[in-house]
Amino acid sequence: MSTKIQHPVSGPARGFSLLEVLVALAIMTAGILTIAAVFPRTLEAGNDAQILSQAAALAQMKAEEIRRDNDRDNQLIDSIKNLTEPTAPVAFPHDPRLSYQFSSTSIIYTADATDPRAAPGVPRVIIRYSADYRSSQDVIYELRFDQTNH
Amino acid sequence: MSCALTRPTTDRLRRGFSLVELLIAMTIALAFLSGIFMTFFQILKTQEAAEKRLESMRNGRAAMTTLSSEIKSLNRNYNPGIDDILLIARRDVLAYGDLTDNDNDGQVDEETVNGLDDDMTSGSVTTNDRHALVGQVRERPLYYGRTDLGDKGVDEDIKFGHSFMTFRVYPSSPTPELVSKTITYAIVTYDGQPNVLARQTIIERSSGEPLVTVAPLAFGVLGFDVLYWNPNEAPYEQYWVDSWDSSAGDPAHPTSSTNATLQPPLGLPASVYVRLTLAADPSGAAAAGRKVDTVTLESAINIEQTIGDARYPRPSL
Repeated sequence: MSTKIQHPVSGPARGFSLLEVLVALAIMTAGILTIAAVFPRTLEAGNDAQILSQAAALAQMKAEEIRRDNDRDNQLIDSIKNLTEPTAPVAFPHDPRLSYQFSSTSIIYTADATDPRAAPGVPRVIIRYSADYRSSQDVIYELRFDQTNH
Repeated sequence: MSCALTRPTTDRLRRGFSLVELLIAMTIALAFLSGIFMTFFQILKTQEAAEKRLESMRNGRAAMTTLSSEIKSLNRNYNPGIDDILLIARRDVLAYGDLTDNDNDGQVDEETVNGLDDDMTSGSVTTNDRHALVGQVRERPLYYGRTDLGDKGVDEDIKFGHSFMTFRVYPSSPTPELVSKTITYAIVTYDGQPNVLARQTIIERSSGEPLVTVAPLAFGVLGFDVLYWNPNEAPYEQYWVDSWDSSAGDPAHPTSSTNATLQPPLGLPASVYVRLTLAADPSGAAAAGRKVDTVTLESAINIEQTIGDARYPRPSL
């Protein structure tokens, strides 16, 4: 009996109230949710890696199509080489998450002008996310291709 | 006792929880925790599935790289004295696909991979033709209004196909150890595992059994569809076909009786389209009639010799 009376000021002897328990639970939930929130981010990274594989294969397909269908006078490839701005993105019918465009200038390697990958006047296929899939429309892949038939 | 005000001293408030309070608190805690754990395990499960998809994709990518490098450098020899290569290919279309209505038209797996809009979902492909314009020059004006891979509605919801792509190599100076070499890409059962895309090599020798080696390229491959861009029809009548025979009309290496007198001007296609459909989970059994989650990898590879040939028909714009 004496212990109850001698309890220091700092701590109530009555245990926690229901309200306190609820607050504690809320804090714990918030904590766990924060940890759980990290998981989708790693998920997204895996998804991105998968899309990169697809983008690389599709970029090759578009480049090969252009080289295959290039005309005798090389006008088709020249017209891509002389583009002043990239063509409007067109979604791939089999994978509408991705779009392609043709360009004569680099979109990815713009930071360093001496980078050979940034050389202007080279035909390129650009693969980016489609606007209705990811509004930021990040560029995923860029592929330069040969300029001549032979 | 200043604390008497903040710390109630009646027995009812000092005794801690009642059983009812405890039960309520525990129930609430349980509800919270089970919700959290369910989300957590769901996330883990999704992540595992995503990793398997990625693994399948890597698998397919590696196989595609091997295929690309082999196809790109194919060299048909039109003159004696150099190793000759023939491409002989066909495809079986299976009766089923992934059992998913990928194009939302109420039909399941109704198309075959052939470069055509089999179910005519897109109406007129002309308006959707992705060859429309690059700058002021059309990609392929002479094909405008014709279907091709990449057009809307073409090969959207497909049955799986199993292609057999065979290269037959005849060395210019055969030895007893190497009379001819046959390389075949096909889906086989390897080491008891079905659906393995493999590269099989058969070396024919002048005596003894041929040497056979099989190298697996990718596992869980449900569809291996290959199309060939025919460069030969006059003029500019080029299109995708799903079988190819370089030996047709070739007196030096007759393996086919078709067109025995007609030697096509170009013995190899201009371009080869490869579409790999892999099970998202390679360990899961895939069978006809069972819905399966898939990943797809498609690309096209030009045969440099053909598109560089002066006889390869190119339009002038």
